Amino acid sequence: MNAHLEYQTSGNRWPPVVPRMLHEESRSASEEKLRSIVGGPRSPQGSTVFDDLEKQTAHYAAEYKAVLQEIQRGFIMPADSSVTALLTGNRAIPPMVLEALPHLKTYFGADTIFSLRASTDGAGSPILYAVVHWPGKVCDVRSALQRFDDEWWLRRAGQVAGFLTFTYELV
Amino acid sequence: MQGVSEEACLRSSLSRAYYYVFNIALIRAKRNGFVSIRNESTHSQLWRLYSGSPEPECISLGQIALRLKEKRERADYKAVYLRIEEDVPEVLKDVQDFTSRLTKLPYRHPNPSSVRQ
Repeated sequence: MNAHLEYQTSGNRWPPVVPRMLHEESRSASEEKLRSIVGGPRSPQGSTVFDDLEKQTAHYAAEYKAVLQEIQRGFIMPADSSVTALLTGNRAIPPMVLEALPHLKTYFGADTIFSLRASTDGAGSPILYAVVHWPGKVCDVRSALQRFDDEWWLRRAGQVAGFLTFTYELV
Repeated sequence: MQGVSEEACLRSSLSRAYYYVFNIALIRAKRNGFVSIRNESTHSQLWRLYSGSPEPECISLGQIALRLKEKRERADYKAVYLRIEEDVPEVLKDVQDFTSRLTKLPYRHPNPSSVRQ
């Protein structure tokens, strides 16, 4: 009976407009933000930016491989996998190492040899040493290191807190 | 033979220099609440505490220590350490520098709760 009465309306009873849910608003905003960072076409309503996740993953893997190759061109790497494993395990380090390379050449010389070495003791997260191989006087390499620290490195060291340092080896 | 024993002394001095720095830095950190977690080297954790601090002086201390650690590892584990006699006096200067900086550092640093994990 009640159900029957419910339909006995004048005909101008419009259903209430349901506003967008809060989570829809925020999802849409964050999707836009993500799109602005990673690019890619606008997804149709209802799908997410993660639709092409596999493509993105492959893109990042290729990008990472390119970074590693660039690092291998600039630094001597050990024959074992210690450094590669370290670089793979901490993705903040490779871009920093790569960014450092032109600065290292500026401060220590374009012909200087640089190498990467992983710390050899202790358990847990190893430390990466970027080593300047220095055939000259010890006072010269130390003053160059001091300038490198003051003008470039110390402002960035916090970003890879304790996982990376630049040092020298007399040869 | 004398040369060999002299090199052994120099290697030993590098190792001791690093451990001196490690110990005074650890005492300070523990006083401020640093607790090392198991299954990971206390050395790595300690230097991450210093290097990850927002206090620039702590970052410098962390970098000095990491460089000393690298020299200590070479002195203890590598068969060849070229020009070690030139390195040792510089390492000792670094140790003095570290000690002086740590002494001047306000007692509240390094603060484990302010370090990015």
